[in-house]
Amino acid sequence: MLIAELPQTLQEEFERTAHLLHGEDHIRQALIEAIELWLTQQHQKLIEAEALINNLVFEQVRNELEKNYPNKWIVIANGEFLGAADTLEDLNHLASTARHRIAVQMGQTRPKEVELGWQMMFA
Amino acid sequence: MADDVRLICWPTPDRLGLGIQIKTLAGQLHQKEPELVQIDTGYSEAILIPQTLFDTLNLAYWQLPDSVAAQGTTVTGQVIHFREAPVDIVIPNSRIQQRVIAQTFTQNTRFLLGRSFLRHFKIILDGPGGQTCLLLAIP
Repeated sequence: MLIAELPQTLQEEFERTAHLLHGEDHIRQALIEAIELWLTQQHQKLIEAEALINNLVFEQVRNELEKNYPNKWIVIANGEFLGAADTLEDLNHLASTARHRIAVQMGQTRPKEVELGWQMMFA
Repeated sequence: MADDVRLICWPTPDRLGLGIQIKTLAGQLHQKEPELVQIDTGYSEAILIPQTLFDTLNLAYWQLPDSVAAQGTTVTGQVIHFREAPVDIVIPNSRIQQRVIAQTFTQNTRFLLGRSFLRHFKIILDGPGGQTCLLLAIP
């Protein structure tokens, strides 16, 4: 069980709003939603932190990888180049606990500019 | 001589679309039943998925580098930086499983199929019939 003392004004507003939205069992339901939201946000921050490092490393070793592994899939995770293979499935097991990995086929080009279409044009 | 064909059709009275599932490279399907995803022929890439789905499927585990990922520009000049990862698009009852690059961007809620995916298939947009059909050759 978790016990925490909140600032009084925050607690009063929380209880009032939770009661309005959830009725009976309001505190428990509102706390569950709040914790789930917080966890999602923190998970996203952790992914972004790993992504930043992995992208930096990719740019540092990109030329070398293109030279040594043409047309191979490569994986970078935890800030390290971990391996290369003919298929991405062959690399699925690498860094299994990582939240973010870079996976890319070396030497393959992709369109840099996307035509958005009407659905996104006015985003 | 015309090939024998069969049609798989989805009722799409308002918006034209196909019933698909997205499968990650770990084999996880985005849901048990196919989801009707709208076709947007103005969108040049294969599939745009909601950001929440990108995160739920943990596609950051197979993400393309930022420097390789594409971008787009809206009419207001806003530049959209995509997050991209390979996935398989599955169409049940058709044996179709197509490897594509899925895209999303921050706070995107749209779910669209674009030209790069459609290029692989013959699709009938049946306006009067209120349906969209996939035309498959019978081997």
